[in-house]
Amino acid sequence: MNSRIVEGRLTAFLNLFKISRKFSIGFTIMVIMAILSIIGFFNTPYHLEGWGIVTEETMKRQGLPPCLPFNCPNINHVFGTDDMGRDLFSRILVGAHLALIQTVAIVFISIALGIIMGIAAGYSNMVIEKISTYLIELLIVIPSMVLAAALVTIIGRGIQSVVIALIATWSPWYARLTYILVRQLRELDFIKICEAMGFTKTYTIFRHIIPNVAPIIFVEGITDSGSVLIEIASINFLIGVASLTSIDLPDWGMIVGYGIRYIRTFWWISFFPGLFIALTALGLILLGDGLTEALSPWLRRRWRLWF
Amino acid sequence: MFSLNYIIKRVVSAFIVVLGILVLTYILIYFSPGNPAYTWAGRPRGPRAEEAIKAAESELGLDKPLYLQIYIHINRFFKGDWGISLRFKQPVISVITRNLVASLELLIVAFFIAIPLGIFLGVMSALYRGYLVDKVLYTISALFISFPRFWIAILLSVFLQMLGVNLFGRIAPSYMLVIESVSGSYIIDSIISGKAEIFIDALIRILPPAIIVALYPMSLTVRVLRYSLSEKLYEEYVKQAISFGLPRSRVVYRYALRGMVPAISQLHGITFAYSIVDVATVENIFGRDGIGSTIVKAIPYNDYPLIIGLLALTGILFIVVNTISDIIQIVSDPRVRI
Repeated sequence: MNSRIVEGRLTAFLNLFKISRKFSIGFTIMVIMAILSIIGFFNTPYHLEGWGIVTEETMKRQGLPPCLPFNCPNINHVFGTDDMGRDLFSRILVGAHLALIQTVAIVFISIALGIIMGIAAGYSNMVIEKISTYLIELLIVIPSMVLAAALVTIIGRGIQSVVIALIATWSPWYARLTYILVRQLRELDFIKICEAMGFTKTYTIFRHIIPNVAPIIFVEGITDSGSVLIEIASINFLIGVASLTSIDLPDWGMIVGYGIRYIRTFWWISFFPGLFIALTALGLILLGDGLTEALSPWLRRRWRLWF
Repeated sequence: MFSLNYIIKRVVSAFIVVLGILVLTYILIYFSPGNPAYTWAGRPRGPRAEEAIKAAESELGLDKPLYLQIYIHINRFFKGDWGISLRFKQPVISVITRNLVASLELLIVAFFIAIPLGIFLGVMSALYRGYLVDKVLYTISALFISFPRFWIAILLSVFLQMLGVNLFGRIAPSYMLVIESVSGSYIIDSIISGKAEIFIDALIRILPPAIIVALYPMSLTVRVLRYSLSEKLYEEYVKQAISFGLPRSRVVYRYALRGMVPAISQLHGITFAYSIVDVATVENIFGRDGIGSTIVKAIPYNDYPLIIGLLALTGILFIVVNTISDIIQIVSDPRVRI
């Protein structure tokens, strides 16, 4: 029985590839990115702290060609080196898991917070509903970029301030969506029957409301994650532009931002991390689009107009 | 249709959210690095530092209970006394208004490009859904949504440099002394003073960043219209209008698109807030003034008063934009009567 369910889910998953080409392209890109991030997490071709010009002795010890600052892309350094002589390909590899973990963490935590806020706003007493709706409205209008800048001055430069700022600004959107869905749900018969039968609100929420709301929010979250990735990169870009000294954290956005001061001559410092951001975001958006199209059959009908 | 009562309600709730933002900024000041009074006095050093910190402390009201502190903060905000920027050594409010006008100029020009173009391409995509035109438009819009705009801006700026065109800055440096600043926006100033060559120069310089900022709202409009308009085109009233013999363009643009106005206005209310991040990054690449370059200048100096002021003012700007888009939505949708 159990194995049959697993088999059925597997065939349903494999069917997604047949149904939607967007899904398969997006899924392939994301799988490649995930593999790259795992590789970068464990091993990189060069040491990340390849500070300055590596001496001949260390070159012999490592058995590697020298790391000179501002090296053009060549055989040894596929994407070139940056101003400190660090290999850009290694930095991009390490940045891959940072970018993916940040995106996934932001989307998941803001979905969880959003569902909590939305249910508090939609399925509780009047006072909590009023407070929660005002809280959602307040959080929606906060500019994420400026909040991140404020947190950078408080907590310090690093991924945590950007992640907190983005969670604070993305969760109200899911809260609003949950609120709308819960408002529709609570007028339906099965929720009213639950109330009439005397079930507690907690039981109804966990047993009936969350299972009905969560899948819609999750598909929305996968579609949004491309935008989340770009927003992270944009904020980190500003931090990178602002930083006066070379940055240690190999975040893609920061590398691009730090590199634009050399853009006239050393174009590769900004170009390649940006390319990776673009590819990852494209993969996420295609994945979300394909999933939406595959899960709603009416989107797959023949669209040609008769007039 | 035009329900004044609802609009008053909306404005009142917007005002409550403004107060909420001010309270939030006060909370952030309260947790500011070090002593808030020390930050607010502009990190003084030297023999008179003690006095300056004492003065700032009484100004912020740090010796009073918390609710009075928040009251004083809100009062100061409405009086326009937001402290002194540590980086620019000027009152925060003048720095922010100067830069926000520059950003808004770019943002508004971008939306003037994005909305008509997006609606036109979206209608094309919905009409020819399933044909080659639609596939090309879908691919282009997916690319423009997923490619970071700062990266596209970098590519464009390098390309312009290779061509030998210098379009950096807001106007040419030689015009900087000629023009007198009235509104802060060079486009409006040059119209007021009647100098055609400065107007053309400012317009040409705003065009490349504006096109890049416009990419995101434009492609989002295309995608939204593609999904929802092609659904609308299957409805009975469209069929009836076609069978009456009305021309196709009139049916689509006049009748089918009218149902889309609320959705589009809501969408642009949202993307306006999202595009401000794009504006901030693109400004830095094209060397323009604006909130993005202000943040970049403020971060290394830990210029806390400036960032807090920016947070409050940008938040209020978003509230205003959201309220306007909500009101457009109500006015254009006859079904909404509250």
